[in-house]
Amino acid sequence: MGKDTGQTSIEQLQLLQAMIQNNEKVLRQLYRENYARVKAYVLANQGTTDEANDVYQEAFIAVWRNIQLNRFVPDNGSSLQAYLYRIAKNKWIDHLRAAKSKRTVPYPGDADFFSDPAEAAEDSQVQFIEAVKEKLETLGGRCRELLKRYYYQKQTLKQIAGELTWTEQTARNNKYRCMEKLRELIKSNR
Amino acid sequence: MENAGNFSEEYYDRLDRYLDQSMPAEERRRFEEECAADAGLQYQLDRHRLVRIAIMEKNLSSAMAGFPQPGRVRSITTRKWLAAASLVILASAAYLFFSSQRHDPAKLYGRFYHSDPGLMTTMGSADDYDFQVAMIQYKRGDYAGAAGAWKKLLPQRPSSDTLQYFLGCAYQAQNSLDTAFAFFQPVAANPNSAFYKEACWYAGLIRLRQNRISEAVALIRQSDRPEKDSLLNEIPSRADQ
Repeated sequence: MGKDTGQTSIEQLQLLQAMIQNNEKVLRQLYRENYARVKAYVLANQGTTDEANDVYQEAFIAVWRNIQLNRFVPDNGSSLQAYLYRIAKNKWIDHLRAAKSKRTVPYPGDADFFSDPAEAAEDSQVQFIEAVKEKLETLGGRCRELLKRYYYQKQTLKQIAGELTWTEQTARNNKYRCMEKLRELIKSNR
Repeated sequence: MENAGNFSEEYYDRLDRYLDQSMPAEERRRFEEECAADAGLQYQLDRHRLVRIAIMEKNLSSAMAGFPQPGRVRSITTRKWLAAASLVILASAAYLFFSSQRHDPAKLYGRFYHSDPGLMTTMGSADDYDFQVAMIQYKRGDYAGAAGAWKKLLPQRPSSDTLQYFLGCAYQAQNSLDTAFAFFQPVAANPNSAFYKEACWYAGLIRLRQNRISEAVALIRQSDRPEKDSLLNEIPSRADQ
């Protein structure tokens, strides 16, 4: 991973593409290479190593999610690594603020005054994603495996069929059934 | 999603193909027009995107559990148990490990060989583009792809020590040791090269793996790796086999 060079490097674009494709090797490398900086920041600002780990994991997922939602576009001077650091730093500042606010009395109307419609829409997307993740827990193991292979590992139905000794048509039908089942579970939540 | 009845297989397929950007341009344009005119379809598309993200995110979280967790602090009790267990295991394993691994060239190679991390790549001059793209392949672990791309550049720059060195690295990473050595050799023979010391290290490791001990020692001595003394101390003193 190169340092920020003040221009959109080929490497940054390739890195972004690899993140979109869930290339685990790249994800692992990015995770490993950026941890120390975040940890140093948290430790220097009243945090512990455990808190640094938690904040870093949350930030890493948030960055990945924002990439999937097209909320992060690299431009001049902004690298994915810098973005990850910024998100982690903000999460830690939020955490410190939250801890502090427990000890203060909020001014009436603060929440409405500061609420931002775009932020609210983003929050509702995140809430929906969290709800679906919960429902996935109740989906059968075979469906979870199939959906993991198709959406996370980006395998084709043909590859899935080959590895699970199905026909391609069976893989297609099963994927359809699993998605319908998941949709039913999501519906039942509302 | 939650407002409509059952969806057809084709319906999901269409949403997936759009989100995967695998729709042909004309079909994509028509689909986008349809979404613009049909709020329901746009809503289902947005919802489906989020469902896909949830599925992926759930799996990413599971995968992250296997990522290295530097510095994770466990509870005191757990730490005490782990420390005690580790001491016992380490003490018994250390004897077995060192008695079996010390002086075995193949095992020494396994312990001391770590592929070169590669150079930083940035948008540079046009003639550098192919080299940089191959460097990205190399850094992603696609060593065969990188070697193939760099070999194509070699006729234009036959005496480039950078190309020779990284070709050596790419072949060594694929365990093609003779080919790798052939590329490292001219660089390891040229003290003016920026890659001289690194080439000596890797070429030396190859000779070690091939049990050509005196050549290995001579090459490794020329490198400036911090771990070279530790390796030289463990290399068997016997003559080449």
